[in-house]
Amino acid sequence: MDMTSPRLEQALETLDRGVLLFALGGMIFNGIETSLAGLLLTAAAAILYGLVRNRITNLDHFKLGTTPPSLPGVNLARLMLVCQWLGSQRLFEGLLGDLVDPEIGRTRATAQRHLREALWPAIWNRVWKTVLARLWLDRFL
Amino acid sequence: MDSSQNRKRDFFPYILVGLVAATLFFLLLLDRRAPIFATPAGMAPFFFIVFAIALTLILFAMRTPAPADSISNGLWLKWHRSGPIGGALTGLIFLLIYWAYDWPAPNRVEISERWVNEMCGIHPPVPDELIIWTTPDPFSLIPGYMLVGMALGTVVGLLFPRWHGFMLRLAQRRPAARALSHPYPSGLLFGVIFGALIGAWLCPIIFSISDGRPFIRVSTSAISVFLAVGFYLLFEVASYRHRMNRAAYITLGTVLSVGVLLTSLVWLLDAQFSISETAYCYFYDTWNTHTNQLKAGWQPAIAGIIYGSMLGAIVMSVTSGYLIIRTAVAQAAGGGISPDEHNTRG
Repeated sequence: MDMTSPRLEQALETLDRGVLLFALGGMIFNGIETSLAGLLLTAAAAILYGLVRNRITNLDHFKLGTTPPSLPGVNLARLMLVCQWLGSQRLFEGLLGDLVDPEIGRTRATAQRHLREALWPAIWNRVWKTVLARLWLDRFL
Repeated sequence: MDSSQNRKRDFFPYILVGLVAATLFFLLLLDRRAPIFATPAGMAPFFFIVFAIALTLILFAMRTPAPADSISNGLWLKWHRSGPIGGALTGLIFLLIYWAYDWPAPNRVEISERWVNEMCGIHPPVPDELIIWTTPDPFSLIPGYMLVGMALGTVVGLLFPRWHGFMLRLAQRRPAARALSHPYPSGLLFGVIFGALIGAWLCPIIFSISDGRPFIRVSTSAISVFLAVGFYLLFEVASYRHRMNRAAYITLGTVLSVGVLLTSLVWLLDAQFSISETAYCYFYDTWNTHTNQLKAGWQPAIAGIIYGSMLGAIVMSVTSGYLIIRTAVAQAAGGGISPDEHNTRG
């Protein structure tokens, strides 16, 4: 999807803010009323929105020139999906480069540990930055 | 478009309708029977987020090229199979909403034989041994509802094109009947007449089963048929989104507004004048509890006619709207669909 239009980008950012504020409000209201199901549903809906929004936004910004090599113990489709969600082709290519390193890609366990160590901080960093940016707290970044 | 894209399926309508149906399921079904969200304040954020997801999906779907299956071959749900499939799904939705709204639950009193003495003020009261206290398992009703829905949908699917063809010929012969050549009045008339016929036959049969199930409120039926046809409409419009024009969107808005208004009106009248309770007591009065048979006379059939024609009007009102939308889209596309198809489908 072409997301280059500034007006559209602005409108989607406003929608993101709305979702974030409603998600926080929902967590507070359902938390006060101790409705666990309500808390979980609101959180699930907000996560789903984040996944859909990022996936769609980054769809066109992620194109591979060459066919990636087959690596034992690594699900490349899933890795690409996560990197696409993070909107970082550099991360994907960097991780692929790491995985062909004999030290890292030698066994299934080392490859998966390397991916976990690289991806989880990247995901948390991305979520944290997005939340701060959408709450007008960019100065803390 | 290359061959791999040609083979690509268009999943957007499924996702959109699934999302809307799941949301309404939470709103109408689960939350009414066993509240998930403690307060409306806790529920509102959830619906806003779901709305945002739907909006993002719609935006994405509108800006991406149409997959081949949504532009080359017309409707996914072909006319000849839309009747039985649509009917069966309508039956299922009907049962779900019936279960959510009218089925016995700790937080409400249902309209059923259990409450007949209080509700209908029967003197002398019906003795306990003549009242069926057990309630059937709702799951056991699924096949029956789907089969009846499928049968009715098949009959409507076969009859309505012929009916509309007849109306078109009638309008050509008699200018006074020209208004009936339009799909909306033609469909509405069909809904009223066919609904009345089905109601006269089906309502006394359903009531005579008398297995302890609660009575379906008129408002529940209206909500069910509106949602069922509305989902179908949404699905087809989502499939056809790349050929929808301004006129088609205006028609869509009008059709949905009319559907909402009709349903709200039925709901309001039912709530204000206790139509469902009155209808139940009326049916109960015509039912001989001692012999377990319907009393002689036309009165139960007349009540069934009124009930059936009301539902038929709502169903065909929304369905005819869909046919008009198709015509508007086809006209804008310059005859992508043959004129003959318009005549029979709308």
